[in-house]
Amino acid sequence: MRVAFFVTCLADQFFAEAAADAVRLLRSLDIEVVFPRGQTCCGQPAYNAGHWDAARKMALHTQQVFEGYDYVVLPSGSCTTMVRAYTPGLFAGDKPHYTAALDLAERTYELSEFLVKVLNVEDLGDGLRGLKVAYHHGCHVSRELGIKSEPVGLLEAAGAEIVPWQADNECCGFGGVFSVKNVPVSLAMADHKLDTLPEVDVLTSADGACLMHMGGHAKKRGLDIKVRHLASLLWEARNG
Amino acid sequence: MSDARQRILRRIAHALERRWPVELPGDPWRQAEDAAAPTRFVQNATQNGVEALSFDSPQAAARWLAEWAAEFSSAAVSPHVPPWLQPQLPQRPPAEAELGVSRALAAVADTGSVLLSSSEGRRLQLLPPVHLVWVDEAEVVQHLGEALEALQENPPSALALHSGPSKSADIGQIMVQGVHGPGRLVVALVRGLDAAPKATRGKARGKTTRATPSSGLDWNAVRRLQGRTLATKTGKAFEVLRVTDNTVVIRVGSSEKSYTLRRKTLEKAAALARGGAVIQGPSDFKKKVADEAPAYAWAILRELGAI
Amino acid sequence: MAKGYKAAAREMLASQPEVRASVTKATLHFHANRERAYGEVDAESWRDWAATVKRHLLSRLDHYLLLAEEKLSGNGVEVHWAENAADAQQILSRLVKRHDVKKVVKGKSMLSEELEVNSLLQRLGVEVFETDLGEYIIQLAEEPPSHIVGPAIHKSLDDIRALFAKRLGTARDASPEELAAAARRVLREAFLSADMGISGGNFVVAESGTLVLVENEGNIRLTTSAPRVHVALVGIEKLLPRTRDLEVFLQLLARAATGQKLGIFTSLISGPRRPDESDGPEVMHVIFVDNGRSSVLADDEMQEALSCIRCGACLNACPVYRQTGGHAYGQVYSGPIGIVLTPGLKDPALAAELGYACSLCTACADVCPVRIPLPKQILAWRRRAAESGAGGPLEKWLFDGYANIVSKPRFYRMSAKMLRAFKGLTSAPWLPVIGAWASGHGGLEPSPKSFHQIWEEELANE
Ligand code: SF4
Repeated sequence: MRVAFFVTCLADQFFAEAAADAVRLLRSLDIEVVFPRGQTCCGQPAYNAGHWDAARKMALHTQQVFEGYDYVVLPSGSCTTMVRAYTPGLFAGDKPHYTAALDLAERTYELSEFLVKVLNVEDLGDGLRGLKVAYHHGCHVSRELGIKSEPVGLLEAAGAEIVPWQADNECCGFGGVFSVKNVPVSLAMADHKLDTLPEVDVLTSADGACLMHMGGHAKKRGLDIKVRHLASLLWEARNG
Repeated sequence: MSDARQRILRRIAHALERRWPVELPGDPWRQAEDAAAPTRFVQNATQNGVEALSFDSPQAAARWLAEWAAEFSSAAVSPHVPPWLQPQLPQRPPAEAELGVSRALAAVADTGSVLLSSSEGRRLQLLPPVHLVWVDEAEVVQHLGEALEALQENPPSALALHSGPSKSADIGQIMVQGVHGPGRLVVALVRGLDAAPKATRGKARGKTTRATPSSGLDWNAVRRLQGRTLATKTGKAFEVLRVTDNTVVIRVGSSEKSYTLRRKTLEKAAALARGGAVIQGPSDFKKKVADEAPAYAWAILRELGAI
Repeated sequence: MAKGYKAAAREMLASQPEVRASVTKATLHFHANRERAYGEVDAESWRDWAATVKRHLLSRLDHYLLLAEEKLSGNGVEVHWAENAADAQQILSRLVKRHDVKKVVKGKSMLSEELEVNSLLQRLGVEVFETDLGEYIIQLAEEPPSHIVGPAIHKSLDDIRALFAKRLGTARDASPEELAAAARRVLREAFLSADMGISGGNFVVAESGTLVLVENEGNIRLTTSAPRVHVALVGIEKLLPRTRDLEVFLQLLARAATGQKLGIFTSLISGPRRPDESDGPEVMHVIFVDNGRSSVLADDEMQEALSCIRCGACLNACPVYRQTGGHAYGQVYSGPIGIVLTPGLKDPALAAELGYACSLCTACADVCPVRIPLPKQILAWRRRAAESGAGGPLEKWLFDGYANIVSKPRFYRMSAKMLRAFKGLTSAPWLPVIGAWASGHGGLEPSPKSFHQIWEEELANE
């Protein structure tokens, strides 16, 4: 089985080690992982801001890069949702591109989802024994794609304790262009997340952007909150 | 403004021109009827904060009422409530009464609601702080749609569903009861609500009381007593507050205590007297007629010269 | 109203942090109740069903409006039509004169906010009482409602204590019960002496000409029962085809709004008092109001928003709304449905700012009882705003530039290298985007090596 790894622009620049962990993890499960050259960004930032021409341009580029692979796996919930749920709509009325978008959508998976649904892996190892974890459900991946039990199940199977968090499925306030256009509200939302966060060893999520937003704001506030990407924790589950 | 009407309708028609009509869907999902309607009603109404009760018979209901109503000093009673389920309380306009008493058209198990008709008066359903609603057990349905359907032919001008006590959380999210409407809603299901209690059964059913000519009691004469103050044999003063088709409501002195005398009882006594029986006083009344506020009943009949 | 969302929200968070606390508490409470209440029934199938009924209604709206008009008239109700707020105000003014009205009691109606009924009545010299406790509170405070179901949720118990102490002379430490009792005393008097009751309308059943109103306090029942004249303001989209549709709509509305099985009081009004009735209004008027709704209906991407039953569930679910409450939006309707409806009802240009008062978390779509695709519609407003250049030339230039970079891998990798070469770039406050971001975030640094680099150096050869 050959898997094309779509690192996504944000993980490429800011969660590069976690992305590498995702590749290591997949390879440890005997998956052949390739990294198609020329890949960049799924187009979500432009899409969410309303600049659909720009978004289309990026989506077309992504379609080209990932043509022909059995599976495309992403270490990012939100970008997975862009490819799966939003991109086809960008090409409504443009049959060939719409079909191509749907075709890519069908082959695209978020990392933990790919492990559980395609590889049928439910237990990676017990490398997270005793680790107290707060899991942030990214909005798009949990609501649009319904991916919730996969990451949590894998963490638990690895011995992590998922500490109940009343706000675990609430938006962290990032929202792409939102966090730039409405800074105070975006930060107030992050505050709500941080203020309700239980005592844990680590805060994790399948979405790097959310972790960056919450983690960065926690740092600004001087809070001691350790943030790690889901991919790294899953690799540690197997390898730790 | 018919111009506005035309323009609005034209714009809508224009907007819809290019669209296909969407079909109405089939029947919606309904909650499971996992228990009899009265049982589910009591469960759900109770959850809504209703004080829900059930009675096997009108007698049992009337017995409960006599005791329960004692804590109130006045009531506004719907004309749809049969005499035996009217509290023996002085009647007051709804804005002043402590208790409103209604007869529901139906009740809904799914939602724990009672359906009330404007024909009994809207204010008595809303203004008194406590609202007692009688429902015939047979008139409890499982689903709201069933009740609405039954009323579709001839709905009252205002049909109201009451599902609990008036409440609001508008003040700092703290629940307060009895904001504008009644702060207590008591719903009593009664089996065979319209059947007169045994003592008088057969003589009257519901509102369709026929005058009993042989009794010799002129009910219009009784009506004329309304507002008068009379005295018992022992000199205790009482006021005739209200005379309805089936009852006489009196208030004793200034004690705020009141009694409802039933027409049937009074008629029975009058008929006995007409037949030659002598009813000497309250205790004699109690023995020969009925143990129902005999002192006052005797005094009223005496006043009318009926005994 | 003049200030845009962005400035208003910033200012509210800075100067009234207690509003955030009150609104968050209230909405989370509503939200949890809704969640439990949905769980008790087959909410998914009810939502599908209700959405379809409303879509059917909208697809034949002209037919149902005419049917409703006919049935209402047959029931002895006088029906009026208002194209816009000015029309509605004119109709209301005439009714006030015709019926010699000096005092009005009002039930909660968002449409009356749209039409600015209170200021009209005041101009006409009519005394107006909002009778919903929450509406009464904000009427005393001289504020607009902040939430379509709980107009005063932005106020804490202490706020209301202080307000009532000042306006009604209650004790400074009065209990909620005492405060409610004080309001009840004033309003009970108003009910019994008012000449006209003005209500909104949750639904109008077209086939029977029945006006349906839902509430918890009993004030709407009194508003429509006690005064001699009843006027109902009804948006043209508020119809339901059939009486039987009420079974689900009433339950769904209650469960979505507050988690109840049903509103405490539901009025189904089929006309004024009848000759044999002892009380009730002698005359009844229904004013059908368009005020922008027919334009929303004509908008393919937005028309579904007219299915809205004003339950407020989307506001309660919205984490953006929770930070400020409704006032920051500066409009009658706030939260997700406000973002979608306002530009359509009033002015598309409003989308330029309102459209971005949303993090696109899609929580609203999860709860809407009539499945309005709110996030999609918000995105559509953003798209239109961007197309019309509302974000300004810089924003367009940035996104076009970004698109160019990322669709040319060579540029992309070059800029990634720049990110690391100029270490200070990610905290350079003079770059517009970075500056805004850095103000609330610390230690934003790119990974020492990009994944591309790690791949080449390490992973590619394994
Ligand atoms: S849009 Fe949906 S959730 Fe929001 S108020 Fe309207 S009906 Fe309720």
